Amino acid sequence: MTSALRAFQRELDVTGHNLANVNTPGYTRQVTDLKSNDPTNIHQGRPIALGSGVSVASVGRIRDMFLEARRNEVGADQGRLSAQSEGLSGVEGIVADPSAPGIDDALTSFFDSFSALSSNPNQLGMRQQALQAGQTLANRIRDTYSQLQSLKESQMGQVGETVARINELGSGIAKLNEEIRQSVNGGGQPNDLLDKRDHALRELSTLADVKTQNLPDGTVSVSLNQLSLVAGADFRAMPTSPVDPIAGTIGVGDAKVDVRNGRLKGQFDALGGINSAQQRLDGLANAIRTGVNEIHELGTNAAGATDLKFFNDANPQTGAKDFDLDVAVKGKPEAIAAGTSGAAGDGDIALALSRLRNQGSAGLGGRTFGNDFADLVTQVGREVKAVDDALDTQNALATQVDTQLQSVSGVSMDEEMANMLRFQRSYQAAAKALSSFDSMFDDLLGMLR
Amino acid sequence: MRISTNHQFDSFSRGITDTQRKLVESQMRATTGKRINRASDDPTGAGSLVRMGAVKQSIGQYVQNGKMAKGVLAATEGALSDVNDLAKEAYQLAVRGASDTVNAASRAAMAAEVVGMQKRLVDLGNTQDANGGYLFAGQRNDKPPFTAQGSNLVYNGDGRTRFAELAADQTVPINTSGTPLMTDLYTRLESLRQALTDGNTEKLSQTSIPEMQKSVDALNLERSVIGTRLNTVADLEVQHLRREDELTGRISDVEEVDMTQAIMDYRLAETAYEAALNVASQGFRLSLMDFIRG
Repeated sequence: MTSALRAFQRELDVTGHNLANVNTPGYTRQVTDLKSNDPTNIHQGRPIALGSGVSVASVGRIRDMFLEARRNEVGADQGRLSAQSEGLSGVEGIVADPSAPGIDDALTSFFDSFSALSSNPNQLGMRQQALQAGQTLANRIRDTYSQLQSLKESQMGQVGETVARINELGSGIAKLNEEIRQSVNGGGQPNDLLDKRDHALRELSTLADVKTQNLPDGTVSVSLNQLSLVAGADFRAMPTSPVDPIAGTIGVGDAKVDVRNGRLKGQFDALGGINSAQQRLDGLANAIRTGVNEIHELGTNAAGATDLKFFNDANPQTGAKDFDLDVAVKGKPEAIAAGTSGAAGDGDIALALSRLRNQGSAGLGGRTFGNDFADLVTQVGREVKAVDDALDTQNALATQVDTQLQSVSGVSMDEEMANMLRFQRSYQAAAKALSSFDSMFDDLLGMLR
Repeated sequence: MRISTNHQFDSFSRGITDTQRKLVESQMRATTGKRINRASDDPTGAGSLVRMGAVKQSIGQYVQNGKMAKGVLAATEGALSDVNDLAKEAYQLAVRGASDTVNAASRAAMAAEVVGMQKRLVDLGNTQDANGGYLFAGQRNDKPPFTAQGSNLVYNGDGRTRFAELAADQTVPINTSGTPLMTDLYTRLESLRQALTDGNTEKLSQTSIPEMQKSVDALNLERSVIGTRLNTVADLEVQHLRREDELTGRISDVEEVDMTQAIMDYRLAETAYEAALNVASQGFRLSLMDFIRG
């Protein structure tokens, strides 16, 4: 009887614990596993087994290991795609914003200003316009590049934060491993510690493609490709540098770690996207330099100077970072060489510059400058869209798996309340039985007096 | 399937965040009127918009160049018309001077008139356009092309053609060289003046009259060339404006939402959002706790 009271009280405790943790993230509902006690044998002529009540065999967590593993896989993909989407949206906003005046506008205005100049090359107003248009184009390309550079720096900062978090989680898991091992050694079942560790592993699996292995001593070993992050109570930190986003690795030499999934990989992919956009801009800037200067150098300005560059150029070419007007013309509209002969009304160089808009550039694979930029816009848009679409799919998948997981492991308040009623009744019954027994005993004692 | 409490909450809150996101997206489309607010909304469309925008902007420049060209050609035509009148007057003088009914005194007066014409010719030859460029100087249009030196008209221009870019691969010449048109006329006027002063009627009728005719013809020819160019400019302008309209239409097809559709979508999204909020608030009215006694 008393064993029943103790058992039912335990059950109420567990129910209370479940209710208390209904909102705890990562909490797995617990159930008591009752077993009837070994019977005592009494001899009344022949051996009769008399039951000796009930006890709690274990308090276990209700989980589905297969679903958990599946959820972690999906989480890794989700993490990767969402991190990549965040980074690439930044690139899209910088390079391909349809509502803001962009490089394409500046490019067309540049060509147009030379078209106007070709008919009236000796007009100061026209020259100033052409110079200004060139300056605007250079400024805009430079600004776009530097905004991408800032984005890259903030992404690298995020990489640092992610690695720090991985290391934080890893070290936490190692500590939990130790506590769990000691408890398991002593025959216990540390359900709440196990939940904590599973929760940490779940978060870790969204950050990088870790592999876990449950060991018989109750610990979990965690590895990230070449790195053994957690082994028992031992924790080895991930290196924080150098980061190679194209190869997808962190660290160098023996300490190099590959990262193939999770937020960290997504951040690497985003960095790759930023790099690729910067390279396209470099290509465009250099092609503009070459194309414009080749023509402008053939012209003579009013002062008789020839072989002048319009955009600053160097060998090797420097790209978009410092793209600007050449010192020969910067701030000097009269220095523009609008015609070959240098005569006041000779605008054939300006005409050729205007027509450059329709000429393919060898440095851009035969594309015109405008088309190259339009291609870049489309390419960036496509990348973002592809990642967003894939993320939507993973999110839907994750929701599905989560639903199944919750169905198995989640606490249902109504269910616990119903259990509570049941255990309450059982407790009342056992207490009643005990009190009947007690009053029967009283009667017996009364008879003996 | 067993339903956990968290699952209920999660599905309500997911319902709210999803419908809210769709509401904001459809709101953006209805407010901006654009279906492409980010390149990823329609990557190919976004690329087309860049290309079409560049073409449309360049057409605007060609049209502007055309207006400038019209101005210069019209000013040239005006000056040439005046020179033409001058040549016709000289022709008349030559005819009168060749006639026997005119005396030496009259011829002397006519000679004086010719001097006046020569001066006017130099001025007309140095006509400037609205921007101060000299119309007949070729590409050396920052300085007056004509100076009279004794009996000669010296041309300091270079006689080269100036162009206006009126289409992607089309230029139209916008100037006329002052030589040989005006230098010839000046020389012929000089010869006329000399003949009048000398009273050389034979020269007047054998040489001056046909020469003046030649100048008149040459001027007429040049004027008709300019007329043709003006027509070309006008035709191109019409073509450009038509093309511009067509592009505007195509751009709007790619870029803009159908406003009626956008507003309907917004209303639907709003309704869905309200429903999600409503359901969530109703969802937890009932639980076992309401029914447990004590």
